[in-house]
Amino acid sequence: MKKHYIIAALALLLALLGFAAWRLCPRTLPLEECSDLYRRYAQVEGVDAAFVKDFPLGRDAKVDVTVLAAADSAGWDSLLRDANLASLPDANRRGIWTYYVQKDSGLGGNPDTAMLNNNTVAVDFVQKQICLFHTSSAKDINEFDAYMFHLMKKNTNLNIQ
Amino acid sequence: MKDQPNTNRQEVDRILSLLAEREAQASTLVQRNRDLADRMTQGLGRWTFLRRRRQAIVRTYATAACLALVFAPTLAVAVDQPIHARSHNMAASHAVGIAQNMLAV
Repeated sequence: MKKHYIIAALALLLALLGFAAWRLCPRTLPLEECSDLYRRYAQVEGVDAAFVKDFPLGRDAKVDVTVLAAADSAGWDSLLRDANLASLPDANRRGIWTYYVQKDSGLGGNPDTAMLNNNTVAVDFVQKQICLFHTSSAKDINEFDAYMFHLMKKNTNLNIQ
Repeated sequence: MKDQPNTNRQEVDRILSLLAEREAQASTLVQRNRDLADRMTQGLGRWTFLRRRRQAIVRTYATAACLALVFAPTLAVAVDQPIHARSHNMAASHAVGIAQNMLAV
């Protein structure tokens, strides 16, 4: 009887693993489709990196995101240096900072005056995480702004027509 | 009357042999009944064993099927987000959670 339980458990496990593999395998991106920023930090000690393609903004809009999380204080210091935020006073290191950077300029750099060529960077000083939203096209920027506006409306109960 | 003792002895012998024969027949019958009863008991026991084993097998696979029914939708929902991800030292779902938190503030 024990034999039957083992066979049933193995069959169940195999079926679930097969289903998960079937659904998850196509979702893992090849390295060349990831952002330069992810490739730069993928093997850096003290920084955990992830690249998410087609991160959903609301129902239809999608944007690519590079996520960098510091695994230790040395990694966080290194990330802040790269983002030109190392000299920021401690008093300002609260909550989440959002700023724009030129496309292909990493985490630091000045925003482009044209705006459409900018990515959006969000820095969480408390959790020691940085997200770079790849919004460097007119469509992405519009969708990102619209989603942020939608969230702001939702979170503050503003009644804006 | 002279033959009377012989006749009686013959009659007694005949009855004794008849009794012995009947006893032998009865003994054979009892043995056959015992054999039959043993075989019936064995058959019934085997049938009961087979029935229990069959029930246990059905129960095992039914349990596995129920577990699959419980876990499959959970798994389907978990992987049914339109996100293609690559991560290093971080689960992709964790990265998505971080991005969601950044926007939600």
